[in-house]
Amino acid sequence: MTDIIWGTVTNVIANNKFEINVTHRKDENTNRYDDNETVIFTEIDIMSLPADPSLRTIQQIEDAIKGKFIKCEVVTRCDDKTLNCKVFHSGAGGY
Amino acid sequence: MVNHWTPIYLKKNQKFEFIDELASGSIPALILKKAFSLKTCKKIIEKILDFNYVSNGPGIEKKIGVSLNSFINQKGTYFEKTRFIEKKLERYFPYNEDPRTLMQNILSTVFSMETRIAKENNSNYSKGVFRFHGTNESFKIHRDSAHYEAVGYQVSKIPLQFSAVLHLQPAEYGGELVIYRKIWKHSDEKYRTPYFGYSEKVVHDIESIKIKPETGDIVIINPIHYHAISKIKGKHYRISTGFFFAPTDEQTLTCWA
Repeated sequence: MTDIIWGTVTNVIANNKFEINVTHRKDENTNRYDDNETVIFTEIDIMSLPADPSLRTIQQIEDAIKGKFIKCEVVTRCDDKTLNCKVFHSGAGGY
Repeated sequence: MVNHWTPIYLKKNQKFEFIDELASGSIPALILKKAFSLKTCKKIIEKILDFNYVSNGPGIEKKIGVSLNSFINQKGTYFEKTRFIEKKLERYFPYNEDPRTLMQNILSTVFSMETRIAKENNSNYSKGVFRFHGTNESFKIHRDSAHYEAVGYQVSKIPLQFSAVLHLQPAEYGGELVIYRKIWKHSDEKYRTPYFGYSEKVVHDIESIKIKPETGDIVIINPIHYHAISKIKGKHYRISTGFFFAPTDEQTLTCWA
């Protein structure tokens, strides 16, 4: 089973990398996650972003996810402690 | 002087001239009492309970109709499903019997503005959703904001939105609408919970009011205020239908769900 964490994006570092304040963790997660993690995303499912990763700018990533609540499916933790994740919009704050 | 935060009650065809106060939150809710008769509501319930295309979505187990929040990242699917369901619903509710259309007409009278369904690339947005809440269900604290949540949809460009809900069948016990005197702000996202809504911490120590809807009432709020539905108790479903609307020019209210 894939580990999942949720939280708000606090800082966008690159067009495939951001910092997240982790507020929720799936109960069945295998590994532990700190309250603040750095994520490199391999996939991102946010409609407002270009599908082709090479066309994405930091500004677009900031507009799309900074301050937003997202879901990260953890693929692996890298040697430098960053997390490789698939990133999704998470649920809804309302209708 | 005590600032009482209480809803305004209107009769069905009375005009309402304080839309700015509703938008700002100085009025928590506008309630159109008995906008639909008991007999009409009963007829609508009989029809809708016979409708086969029931689905679920964030925060709700049983609903009929399409809502944006189920398709935040799937615009094509949202419009495709909307077309499908609306066509099916048209068979159940010919134009002048669809409660959502009748609600639009009532809003036109109350606000003295035309109403229309939002469109994008010639596709209509959903006209509204029927919601069924069973016993022991409640609805978590949330706020509605297409402006923030639905980026990528044209309606997200509308900065303000109202919610109109027709109560077709109230819960036997509970099922009150709880409105908090707090408007969502961006930094509240830290209180979000996975899948739907917010932690109760977001409204800690915040003043609130409870509205116990009656059959046929239309309740209109500015849903950027946190709100929730208290636990439903009793034998039958709490059934409602509703949609969002917003002034898009001086004469027009645009509606969507």
